[in-house]
Amino acid sequence: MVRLTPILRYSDYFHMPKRYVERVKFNGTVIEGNMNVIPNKTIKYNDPWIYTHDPPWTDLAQRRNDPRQGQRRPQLVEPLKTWDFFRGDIVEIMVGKDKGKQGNVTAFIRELNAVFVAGLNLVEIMVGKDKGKQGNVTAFIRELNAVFVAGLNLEVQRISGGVIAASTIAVKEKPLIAPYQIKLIDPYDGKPCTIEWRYTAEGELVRVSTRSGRIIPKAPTWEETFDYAKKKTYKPGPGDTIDDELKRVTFQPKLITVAEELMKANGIVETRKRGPVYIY
Amino acid sequence: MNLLKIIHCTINPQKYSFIPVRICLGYMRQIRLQTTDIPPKENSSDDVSTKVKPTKQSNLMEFFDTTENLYESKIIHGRWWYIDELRLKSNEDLHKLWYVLLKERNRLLTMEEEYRHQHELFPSPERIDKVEESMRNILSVVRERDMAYNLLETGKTGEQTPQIRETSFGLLRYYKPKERIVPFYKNRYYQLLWGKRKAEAWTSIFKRRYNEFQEHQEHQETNRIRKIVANVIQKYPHLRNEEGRVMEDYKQRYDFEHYSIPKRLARRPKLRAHQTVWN
Repeated sequence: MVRLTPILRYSDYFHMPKRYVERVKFNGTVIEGNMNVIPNKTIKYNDPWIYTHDPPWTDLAQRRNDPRQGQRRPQLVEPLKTWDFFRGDIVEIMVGKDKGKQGNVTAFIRELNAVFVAGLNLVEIMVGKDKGKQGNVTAFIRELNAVFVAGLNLEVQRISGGVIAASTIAVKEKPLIAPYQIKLIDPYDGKPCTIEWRYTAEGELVRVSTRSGRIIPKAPTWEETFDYAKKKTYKPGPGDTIDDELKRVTFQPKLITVAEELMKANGIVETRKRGPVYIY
Repeated sequence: MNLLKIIHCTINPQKYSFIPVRICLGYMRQIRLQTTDIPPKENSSDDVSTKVKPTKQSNLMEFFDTTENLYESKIIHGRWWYIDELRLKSNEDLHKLWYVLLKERNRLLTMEEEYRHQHELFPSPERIDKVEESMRNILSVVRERDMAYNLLETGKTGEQTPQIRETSFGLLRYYKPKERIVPFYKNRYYQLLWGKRKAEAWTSIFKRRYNEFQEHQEHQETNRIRKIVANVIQKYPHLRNEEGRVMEDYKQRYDFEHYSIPKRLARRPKLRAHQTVWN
């Protein structure tokens, strides 16, 4: 899990334990520091977390949520009943410059109802020391949102992990808000449609378009995360257990408590009588 | 053999984190396992430093991560043990697994401190939470098994249900009975806390004002959330009919915690220390 480069999105991390995410969101008290001239003031911090495009454990998100920044406006996000968009789905954009174009979902942020589509709905950002100069684009790396311009901004920045980011104009995907600005495509029509979640005959919850009644399947990349592309193709590390070991049943139910069974197994013999116990 | 009365006491994992290895009971050997798809995270401490000469069975280098991926930004590890998988395992396996996880947790925490000392970023800090999750799951499985035993032998689970008790301030508090050696009339600390709990006349004024204060707080919180919800509905006007759902969602986001003890429970009879409510 990379903490410095905020390139990958939340949806790549949905297998993270929720406790970790909650732990990372700062919620507590901050003691103001002033070199001990005046008695320190403790700032109690109770405002909810403001979600940014970066995951909450990154530095940028933490800075945005710094308690010393004063009162913050609440984030107004519509609470949706169901979330319909997964990674790899083909989707059509209904709003903006790229209206009518179809693309793949690369990432999504559920807390903001935001969906990022590959290469569409872009925004240009001026970054770097040669800001304001014009030049010809020689190359670009879409995954890094980096654009190389001929002869300008020749410094190369290295962030830990070996990522090179050298650009004057950075191209960034703008997120689209889920139920309105984006629509899933009916696979048999090729046109945008609204969705319901229904149960199949086998009992599986599945997306069904209301217009044609056809099932929209999940793309094979839907369970892709930062660690693995598919659960079955995960290549485990040295400390993990085998699937067979996991599923092997060693439990034999006996009429004995856990503690007594462990005592038997370790040869601990208790000859003392247990005294009276009071419960109150 | 005397049947031990099993009462569930919450094992505080904080307390357990510093038990040295030689005390742990069933810990004969490590569970060294090989690898395959999406497996749970487990520890295999194989890299023992040869510089430190261990005395008896102890080896301090097991607290540290002596593998070579110290400067990486991410370390590959699996997921935590689910409860369903732990239910398949016998008690001895769970016992061993507990200590494996404990050692791993200690190791991760020491490495976190080390990285902080060296002013570097600790790679993959969510490992600690995964280990802790597995440990919590083990505890819940053990608790289930003890409860099942108790239900079969006696008709009751061995656990104590929390009671609502009136304190000497006239306030109602949740109280969890515990297992103790000394009877209640001899327990000094208990007598100071719960001994003379007769709520006298002055408490009615205090209670009234405290209730006012609580209601005021609750009102302020709901108002605050109501304003935000009004803004949300202004922004998304189709939510006008679903205001209740939106309120619930925002209450969750803003950690709305005010709950009140229902009136029917507030009028329960006063209990003595040794009396339990439900059995």
